[in-house]
Amino acid sequence: MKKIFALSLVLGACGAEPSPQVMMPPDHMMMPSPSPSPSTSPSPSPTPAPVQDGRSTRRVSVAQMRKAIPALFNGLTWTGGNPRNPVPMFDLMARTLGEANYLSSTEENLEPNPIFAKFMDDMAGQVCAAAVAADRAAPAAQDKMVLPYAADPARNLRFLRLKLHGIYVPENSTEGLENLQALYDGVLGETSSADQAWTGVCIAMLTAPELMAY
Amino acid sequence: MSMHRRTFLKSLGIGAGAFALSSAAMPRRARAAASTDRNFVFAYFSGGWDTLLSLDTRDPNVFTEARVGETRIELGWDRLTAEYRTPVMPSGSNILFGPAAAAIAPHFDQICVVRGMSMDTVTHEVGRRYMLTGMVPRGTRAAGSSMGTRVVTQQGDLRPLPHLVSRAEAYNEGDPPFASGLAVQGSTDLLTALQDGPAAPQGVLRQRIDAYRLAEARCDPAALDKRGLLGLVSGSQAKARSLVSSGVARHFQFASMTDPEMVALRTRYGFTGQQTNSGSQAALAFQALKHGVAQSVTIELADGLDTHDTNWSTDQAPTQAAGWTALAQLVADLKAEAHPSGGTLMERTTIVVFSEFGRTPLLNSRDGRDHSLCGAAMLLGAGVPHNKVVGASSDSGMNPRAINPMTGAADDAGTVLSPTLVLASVMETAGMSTDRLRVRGLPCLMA
Repeated sequence: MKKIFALSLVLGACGAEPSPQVMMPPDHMMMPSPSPSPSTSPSPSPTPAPVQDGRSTRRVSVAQMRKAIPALFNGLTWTGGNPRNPVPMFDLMARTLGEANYLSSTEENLEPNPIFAKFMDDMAGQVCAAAVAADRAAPAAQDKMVLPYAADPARNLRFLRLKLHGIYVPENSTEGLENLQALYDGVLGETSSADQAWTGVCIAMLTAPELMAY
Repeated sequence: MSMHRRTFLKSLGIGAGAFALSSAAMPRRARAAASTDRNFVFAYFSGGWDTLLSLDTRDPNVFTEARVGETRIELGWDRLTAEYRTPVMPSGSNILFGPAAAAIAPHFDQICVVRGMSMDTVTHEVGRRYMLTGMVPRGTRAAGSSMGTRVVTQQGDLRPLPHLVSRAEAYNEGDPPFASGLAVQGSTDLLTALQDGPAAPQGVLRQRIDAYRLAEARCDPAALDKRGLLGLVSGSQAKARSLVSSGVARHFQFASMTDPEMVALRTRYGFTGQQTNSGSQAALAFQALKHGVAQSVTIELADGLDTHDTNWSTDQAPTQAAGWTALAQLVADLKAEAHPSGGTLMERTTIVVFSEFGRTPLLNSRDGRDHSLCGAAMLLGAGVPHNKVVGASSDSGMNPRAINPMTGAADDAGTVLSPTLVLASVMETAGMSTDRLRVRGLPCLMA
């Protein structure tokens, strides 16, 4: 059976008409491994990109954001309404953001739709501005949430990349930080405000897929 | 006046790239046959309506209290206030409307009432999702996309908010992201969604963040974008910006005391400020269609119809009436509003009015009505037969009767109506494929 299969391969490859004589294929065609034998000359095929199997990517839920934001920002969270009596916006907007209330809906809507995106921009704008302001008032670096290394923008970006995205960037690398650096430099250049620049970086990172999806 | 997505993108200088990311794998052009000039409104009466009071009524002189044992139909209208004791049939109408639906009766020239629809469920979630999607749910979980998603998928992305949903559910199963319903909880919510929050990035910060998002390369698509989620996130962010910058929010500033359009809207639809009620929901739908903001709108027009107890006599009729009154105003406005291509908006709009099921024809021991398998619906406007009743429920017990699919008349050898058949008819009459629903529409339901 193996010989017949091998014969068919050879004949198919050559485009020859079937011959009554049985011919053995080259050894490498019988090898179980797909790798070519050293006797062949074609260049090795590129390594395929790793395919992630398993659970598909999903958007963070409202409940996850409700817990994550205060954890990331020392208790700061998204609020609205009367400044003297602020209400938690993750609670107020929960239904609109897709959280199930188990009355009229029992399923979470985890679609990253424009409404969710728009409200996350609102949230990030408020939280990041408050975090930057709080950091400026904090005396010690270990008390700062987003600006522990404000004097060294590259280092601070690596810190934020690890804190908000869980991605470690070595000290001698800028991988994944080039556009953030450009964002920082652009805002700083146009506003002359480092606070504005870091607020912009914080907003961009807080609303990036690296945080919003997992 | 219609507004197109590309106009807003150009105004931002972002271009179509971000949008292409969000649905790169899905076709965005309208199907050749699907009517792109058709609007849709799906109006939901929540809780399970008593169709004896509206769409599937009976003559109280025939279905008397004395005959209840024979008919198994108990109107019980003596328990209601005087305005809800007499059915309505305007001159020229072929349709007898229940007393709670008196407000919509004058628009019989646009109406097709569907009776005797078999819901196959008495569970709220199941009935609701069945009517929303046209497919029998999997347990209580919706199967397939909701109707608004289906029609927008086939029409294409034509409006800033192609599919608007207010106080109702929406589903997208396998359809492109642009067709997903933008779900809000009323006009206040919609306004909040269409405007920047007080702390949202503005000016230079906004421009630089938008530029960053556009430039940011996702170097590991296999890790995060295998199912297109990265594209969805990027596309949604861009769409959110275009919606805010488009200024469509001004059409929903219902609380404005200076805008004459808003003042007139509140007066016509009977609501104050940004109050959420039947009137404001209908007004939201009208504004969305009038100003070309949406091509499909799904709204909850009435709530609190699940009257198992004495609240049937106090709440059912007034709550339904509020919904029908709001709908009547919507229809009147659509009839009066000119369409840019000629004719009126009503001539280019199909409205489907539904609830999750009907209620029992007999009052229970608590003087209320329980859930019934027999439902009804109303179709209005474009593509539906007008001044017509399709289907019937039996005069003993109000059970669904089979009908002749060609004429819509009762026929024991015919077909029992279902939400799937009704909604397939709505789609087919608009030139849309009903493949996903796996049935064709019925000729009796298509003009």
